[in-house]
Amino acid sequence: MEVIDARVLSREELLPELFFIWLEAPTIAREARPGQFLMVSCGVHKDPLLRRPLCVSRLAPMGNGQTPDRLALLFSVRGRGSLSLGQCQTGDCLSILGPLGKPFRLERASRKVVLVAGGTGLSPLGGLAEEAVRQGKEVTLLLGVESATKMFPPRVIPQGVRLEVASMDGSMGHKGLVTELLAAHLAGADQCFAVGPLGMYKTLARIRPSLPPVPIQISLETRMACGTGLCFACSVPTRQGLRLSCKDGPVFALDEVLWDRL
Amino acid sequence: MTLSFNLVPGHPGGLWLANPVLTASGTCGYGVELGEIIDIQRLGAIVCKGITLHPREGNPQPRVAETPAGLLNSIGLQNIGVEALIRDMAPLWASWRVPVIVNIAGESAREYREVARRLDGVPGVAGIEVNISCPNVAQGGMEFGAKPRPAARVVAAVRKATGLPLLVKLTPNGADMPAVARAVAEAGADALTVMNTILGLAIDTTQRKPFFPAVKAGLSGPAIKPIALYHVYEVARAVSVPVVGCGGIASATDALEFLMAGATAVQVGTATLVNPKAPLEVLEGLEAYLKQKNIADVRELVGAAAKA
Ligand SMILES: Cc1cc2nc3c(=O)[nH]c(=O)nc-3n(C[C@H](O)[C@H](O)[C@H](O)COP(=O)(O)OP(=O)(O)OC[C@H]3O[C@@H](n4cnc5c(N)ncnc54)[C@H](O)[C@@H]3O)c2cc1C
Ligand SMILES: Cc1cc2nc3c(=O)[nH]c(=O)nc-3n(C[C@H](O)[C@H](O)[C@H](O)COP(=O)(O)O)c2cc1C
Repeated sequence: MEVIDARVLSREELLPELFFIWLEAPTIAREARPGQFLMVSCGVHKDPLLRRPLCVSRLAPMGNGQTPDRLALLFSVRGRGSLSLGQCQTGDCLSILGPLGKPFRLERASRKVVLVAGGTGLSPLGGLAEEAVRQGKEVTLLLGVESATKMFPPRVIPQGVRLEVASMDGSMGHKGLVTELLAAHLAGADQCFAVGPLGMYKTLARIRPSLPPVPIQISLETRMACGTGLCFACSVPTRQGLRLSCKDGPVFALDEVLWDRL
Repeated sequence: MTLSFNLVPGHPGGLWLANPVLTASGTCGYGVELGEIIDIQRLGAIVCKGITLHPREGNPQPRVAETPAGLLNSIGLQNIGVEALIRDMAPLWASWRVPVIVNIAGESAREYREVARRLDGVPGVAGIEVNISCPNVAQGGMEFGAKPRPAARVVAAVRKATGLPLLVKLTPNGADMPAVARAVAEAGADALTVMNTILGLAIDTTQRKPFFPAVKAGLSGPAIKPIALYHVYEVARAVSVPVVGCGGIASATDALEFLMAGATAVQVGTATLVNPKAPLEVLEGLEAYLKQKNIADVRELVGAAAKA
């Protein structure tokens, strides 16, 4: 884990208030695994004060090498921090701390995996999908968006996956929640990874009994102060007692978390 | 250049620290967590998360909110309990060069006394910081710290239970701090930590209810620095025991202000949550200042701005 000033290599506003930013961060990119996150400084002169937790969305080498030395953030604007972060320019430096937390556990033996992304939940799943494709796995990506106008542009959709889209207004793909696509795709899968808002996890936990018994991992967005296990702000109740989202997570087994207490 | 000093000159055994930069309770885990990120052995001392007789789960989510230059927390003293601390943490601490001070809390004077009794003589525990100032628990905590008499009662109970150096951490909430300071010094405190968080509130305007399930929360960070500095100045003039400054310290300049106001040491809290290297950066900045100004001993600065 390191604190570094990472140079912004590129910054794109994919859609209004949706940003895709590549950072030069060799020491962190080398160590990072899909599912881990960074604490990112969003302001100047400590305003806003706290760093914001953001997933490592993609990892890639700068040149022709094998070892990743740059990484991407994919985030939407929710408040002050993400708003000002989105205004960074190519060449700026961002103070980032990471990689933090436990990555997704992608089993070597898994042949078929299903990824379920609710909106910017695509962020960590994009990197995971690339890793799974590299390992020769069959990858299905179920992506939930509000409407066709909020659909992610093709260049942030990982290559080599089977993509199914659900939109709330039915303007693209299945009309309704992305979790409604799950029952049809989970059969025969070895692992499932789902990332989205809390409501999506609660839905998953509720429909869990009706789904094929495939292990499901999720990534929790809990409010954090430090992201490094110092302050105990991000405790979540699990079957094994309280766990820290930042150190023991953010990736948890769906069945491990006590959803009715969150 | 001398940075080392005895934190508790009134205590028979004393407690020598390599330098006056400490961590603040609740912002470095049990020390182990911060030790995974920075070289904590270079610091003056580690003050661990507040510990109670029995393990506590703390408050429900959410537990933190950001304010302008500040942090509101409602952790609710989540901790592993004193027995697990003695079993799992103290043996690690015993092998460290940096001393560890255990922050303790309770719902009654008896509970404080019992926690202190169990810590007494445990290898790896260099001292106790009595937290009579936690705003995030339903009972005890801050109530004890607001008035001289209950505060002194807790400190006297703890004093009887242990020979360890005792720091007492004061609250600014509803307290006449110099009066409480005098009372706890008389009851046996070897040093005072000034101060804990300031009570605050946040409202969720969408849901029209308090943001935190426990309603109130403690404010920390740069926003509270001038307030903490003022209280350090006042308390240091009121008592002869050493004062440890705490509240919004994020840089060497901040630390210098606290020393000059009368603190013999400082604790870095919220700043560490934003930048885990903050305590080391404060220390390095202090060293650079002493060198640049040709000051032989850091103690020359203590109270330099309060002498008038
Ligand atoms: C481990 C982890 C990984 C994340 N990865 C991504 C990602 O890849 N892409 C993405 O778009 N978002 C991600 N998020 C959510 C992201 O952290 C929040 O959207 C962001 O912190 C909002 O900050 P703000 O200043 O814009 O909002 P404000 O509301 O102004 O923030 C105020 C405070 O609340 C916290 N906060 C607000 N909303 C959230 C939230 N949903 N989750 C956690 N903390 C919050 C902020 O960090 C800040 O401390 C992640 C969250 C976590 C915990
Ligand atoms: C997340 C958090 C947890 C804290 N936990 C404790 C605690 O357990 N015991 C205690 O005495 N003080 C606790 N404090 C208070 C700090 O030790 C310190 O007194 C206060 O935050 C002011 O200093 P700062 O502005 O440098 O953070 C906590 C503060 C924060 C931010």
